[in-house]
Amino acid sequence: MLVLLLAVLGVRLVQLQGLDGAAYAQRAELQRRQARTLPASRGAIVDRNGNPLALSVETRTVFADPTEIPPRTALPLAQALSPLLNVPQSDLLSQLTRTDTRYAILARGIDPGVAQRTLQVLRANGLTGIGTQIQSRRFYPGGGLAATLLGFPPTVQTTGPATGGAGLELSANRLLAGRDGKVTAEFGAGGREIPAGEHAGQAPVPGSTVQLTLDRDIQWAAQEAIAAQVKAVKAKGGTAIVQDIRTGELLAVATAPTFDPNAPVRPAMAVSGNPAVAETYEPGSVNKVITVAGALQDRRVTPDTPFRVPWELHVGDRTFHDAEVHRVERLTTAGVLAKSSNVGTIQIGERLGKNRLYDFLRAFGFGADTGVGIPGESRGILPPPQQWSGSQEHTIAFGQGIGVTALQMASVYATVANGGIRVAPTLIKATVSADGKATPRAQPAPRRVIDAGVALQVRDMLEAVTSDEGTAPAARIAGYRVAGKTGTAQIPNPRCHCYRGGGYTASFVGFAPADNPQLLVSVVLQRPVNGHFGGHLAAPVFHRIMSFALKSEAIAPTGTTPPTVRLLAP
Amino acid sequence: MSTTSVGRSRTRDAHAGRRGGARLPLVKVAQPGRRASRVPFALVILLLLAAALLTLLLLNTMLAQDAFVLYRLQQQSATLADSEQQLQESVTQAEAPSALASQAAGLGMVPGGDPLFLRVPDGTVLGDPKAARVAVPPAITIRTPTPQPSSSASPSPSPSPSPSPSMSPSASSSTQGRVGPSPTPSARGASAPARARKSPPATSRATHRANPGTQPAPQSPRPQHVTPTGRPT
Repeated sequence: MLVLLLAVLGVRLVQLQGLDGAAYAQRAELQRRQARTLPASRGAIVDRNGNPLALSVETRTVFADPTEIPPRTALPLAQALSPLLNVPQSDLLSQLTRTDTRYAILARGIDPGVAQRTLQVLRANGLTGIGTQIQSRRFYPGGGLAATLLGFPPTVQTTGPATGGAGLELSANRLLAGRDGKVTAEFGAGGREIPAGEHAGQAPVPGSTVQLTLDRDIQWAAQEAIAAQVKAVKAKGGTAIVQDIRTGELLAVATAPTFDPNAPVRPAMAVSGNPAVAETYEPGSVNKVITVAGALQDRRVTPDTPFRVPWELHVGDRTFHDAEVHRVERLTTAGVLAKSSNVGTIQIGERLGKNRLYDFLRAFGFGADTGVGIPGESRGILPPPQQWSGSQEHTIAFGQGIGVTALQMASVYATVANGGIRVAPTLIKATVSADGKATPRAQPAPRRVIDAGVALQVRDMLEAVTSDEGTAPAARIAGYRVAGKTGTAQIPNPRCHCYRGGGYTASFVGFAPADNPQLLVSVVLQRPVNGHFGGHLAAPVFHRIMSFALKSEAIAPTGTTPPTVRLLAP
Repeated sequence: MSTTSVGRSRTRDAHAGRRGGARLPLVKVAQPGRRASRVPFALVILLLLAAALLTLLLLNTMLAQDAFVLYRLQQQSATLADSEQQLQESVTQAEAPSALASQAAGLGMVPGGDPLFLRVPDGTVLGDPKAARVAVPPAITIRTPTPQPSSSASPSPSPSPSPSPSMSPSASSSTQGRVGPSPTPSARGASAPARARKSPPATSRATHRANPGTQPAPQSPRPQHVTPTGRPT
């Protein structure tokens, strides 16, 4: 009897250890050994002073395995979870009782602390079948601050390439994302790694931090000012750009309207690109500075060259006129610019010639990428001079008939303010890898567009714009010398292929202090309803933003007297 | 060595035997200590083996225990990192410009107006001192001056140290833009004559082409054509 029992046991032993041993060992090992992905943390986006504009924070996704939940515990479980996860009880119940899956998501974006407390409560009550997963959430501390510039990160798919995304989050994704690591090791109960077990894999490479040239405070002030004015004049939209003239660094790129990137649902504008670089418009009078600067550079005119300026001018079958009826005037080149006469500018443009006008438009950066690195950038619309129609030669001289972006236009004035040397605008200052090594972005090579003497002459003319006789006294800041130019452009109406009823673009681009230019502010308002003159609508916004930026950067007035600029010819 | 000595003694015995005739019995010489020395050796080996086994057991136990400690500490570190992250989130949210602005507004503060600079050596105020929109004194940015080439060119007419609002707010603005042919250098810095010095054509010009906003301009001359008129500005 005993022998028989021993024999049975012996046979079983041989079967388990000898025959099936390998298979069982393998099954045990499979149970222990797991491959886990170690997610790389996404880098932050910070402003020039290191203040965060976009951060990644850890959250938990709480899920249920309905097969592990007996039907009678589903209801108490839902009751217990509902207040913790802040999800309606009925939604939880329907997820907990699903039969088609072993992975039913109960809540996403749960705070890690809350998730842990939840699991503790469940464990204490002996309830099983609920698990959590680590997930990353992008958080924007400033709310809508620079939202249209930052965009949002692309969605990572488990298989295949990432999709979606917008703004810098998309264009700098390769730097920000880092590289996920993975580990293959043996894990015991409760997820503890078994020591001295098999362990292979590679550590994750955290994403780099991207440092922008933006100043958080100036960005906010610009955004507040442009948003308030867009609302006040019922404009369709607006942009405000603040640029450091010496370095070309953008201190603010504000657009209105904007959106809250922390909200769960993103509006359509989140993906449509930043209007400051994506939206082209006909610049209008702000463009006159190129015509005048070009004519001065080619020595076709001097600042004192007299022009006979009637209020309207017939060229071929077309008639151009100034905004207001006036008697025939004798203006100098400076006067034409300061008083923004279309008729006068056409005459200066004729002296320059259309081929040279085109050359200067290109040299100032029109029809080309600025290289600022904001996705969705437009080059604007600048056809070669052979394709210009008869009237286009004249309209382009005063800024109609071409399309530019707000950033391109700002760059023109930064060039004039910088003594004729164009420094391409930059937005990314440096990238800082996770180990703290900073790599400054390569600065674009400066390029001379007009002579320093010509730039000085134009600068003085632009300063007259903010005088009482100019078009924008509202841009003046007490104690400072401010130079700039207003623009009031017509927007083409696609319905009639004419300008009637198309609305206006009101703009002002200026810099201060005029005799030692350091900051440039550009304000553009699209389709305002209450009024349309750049000097009335955009100049006050310029005033507000420039005042704030001057205080913020502690730029004192130079205390010098403006030069005498003759606006009237004898 | 021992074998050669034994061999030699044997031959000696054999000689003696042959000579004396008496036969001595052959004695097997024991090798003392050989067997006895193996026991302690085995013991030592056994001891070493046991010690190694014990150490291994201890080591594995400690490893396992450390794994538990490691896991617990990792959990603790993760929890702390979570709370750090949470705190940092609320700090960055609180220090965001919009949050600061609304906090300041809650305290009854208003944004300052145009920048003002106080030049320390002579107490000159650069700028136009005005109260901020609500009755709160304007924020004055104090800055040590960069050496100014000409302090006489400062917009304030007198070196009055008090930044009283009556102090010719138009001084700087009137010197902006065109001042006309400046006749005497002695008049520089005096604000009142600045306006009067405008050349006559300038004043006459301003009569029919003032600021664009003073006239309801764009509609008054009705455009009869489709060409872009480029409303000047």
